[in-house]
Amino acid sequence: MNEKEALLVIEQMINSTKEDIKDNGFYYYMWGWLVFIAAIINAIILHFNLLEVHSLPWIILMPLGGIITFVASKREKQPSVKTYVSESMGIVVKAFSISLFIICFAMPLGQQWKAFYPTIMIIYAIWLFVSGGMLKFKPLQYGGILNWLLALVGFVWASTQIHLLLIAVGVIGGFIIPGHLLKSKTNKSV
Amino acid sequence: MFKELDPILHAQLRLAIMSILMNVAEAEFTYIKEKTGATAGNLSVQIDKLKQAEYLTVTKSFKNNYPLTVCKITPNGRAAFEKYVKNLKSYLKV
Repeated sequence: MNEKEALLVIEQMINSTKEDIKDNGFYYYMWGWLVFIAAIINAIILHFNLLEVHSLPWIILMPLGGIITFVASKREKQPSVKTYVSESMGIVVKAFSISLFIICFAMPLGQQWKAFYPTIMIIYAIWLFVSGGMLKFKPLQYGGILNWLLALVGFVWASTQIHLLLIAVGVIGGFIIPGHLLKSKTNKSV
Repeated sequence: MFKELDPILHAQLRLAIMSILMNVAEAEFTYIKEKTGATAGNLSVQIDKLKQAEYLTVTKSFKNNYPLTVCKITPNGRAAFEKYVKNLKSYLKV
C-alpha cells in the first residue's frame, strides 16, 4: 500500500461511517398523543367537575406510555455501532427522564401545583430542542421553542385548566406533528 | 526529511479498522466486517494485532445467546492514528 492508497482507505472508511442518525418518530407521536388525550380529558373533568380524582387520565395513560416504551425498545433491533451522537443522545435521555421523574413526584408531594405543568413544559422544551439539534431535524427544535413560549405564558397565567390546554397545544407542536413528520421522512427514505 | 510511517497502521485492513474506530464511540465486529468487506478470519487476526499494540480494546460478551465482540479505540490508538495521518500528509505534501 502506498501513501495515496492509505489516504484513500482513510477517506473511504470515514465516509462509510458518516453519522446518519435516523428516528422513526414513534416515541415522539406516541407520547404526544397520550399526553394530549390526558391533558384534554383532565381539562374536561376539571371544567365540568366530573370526578374527584381529576388527574385520573394521567394515572392511567402515563404508565401505559411507559409500558409501550419498554416493550417497543425491547423489540427494536440494537445497532451494531455506537456513534458519538447516539452516545450523547443516551445521556440526554437519562438527564431528561431523571428531571421529569423528580418533577412529577416531588412537585405534587410539596403541593407545588401552580408551576407544575409549565415546569414540565420547560423540561420538554429542552429535550425537543436538544434532540432536534442532534437529529438535525428543525421541526423538533421549533417544537421546543413553542413549548418554551407556552411555559412562559403558563408561569404568568396560573390556572390549571389553562395549563392543561397549553400542554395540549405544546405536545401537538412539539411531539405529534414532528413525530409524524419524522415517520413520513423515514418511510420515504426506505 | 520524511518520518517513518507506523508499520502497525500502514496495512490496508488495519488502517481501515482504525479509521472506522476513530469515527465512532465503539463498534461491533459485524459492523467493522460489513464496512471493510474483510473475511472474519483476516479481520480477527488484524484486530488482535491492533489489540496487542494497545491501539484498541476488545470486549467479548453475549447478545441474544450469540457471541458479541465490541472494539473501541484507546487513547494510544488515537494518538498513533493522528501521528500516522500527520506523517502521511508530509509524504503527500498536503
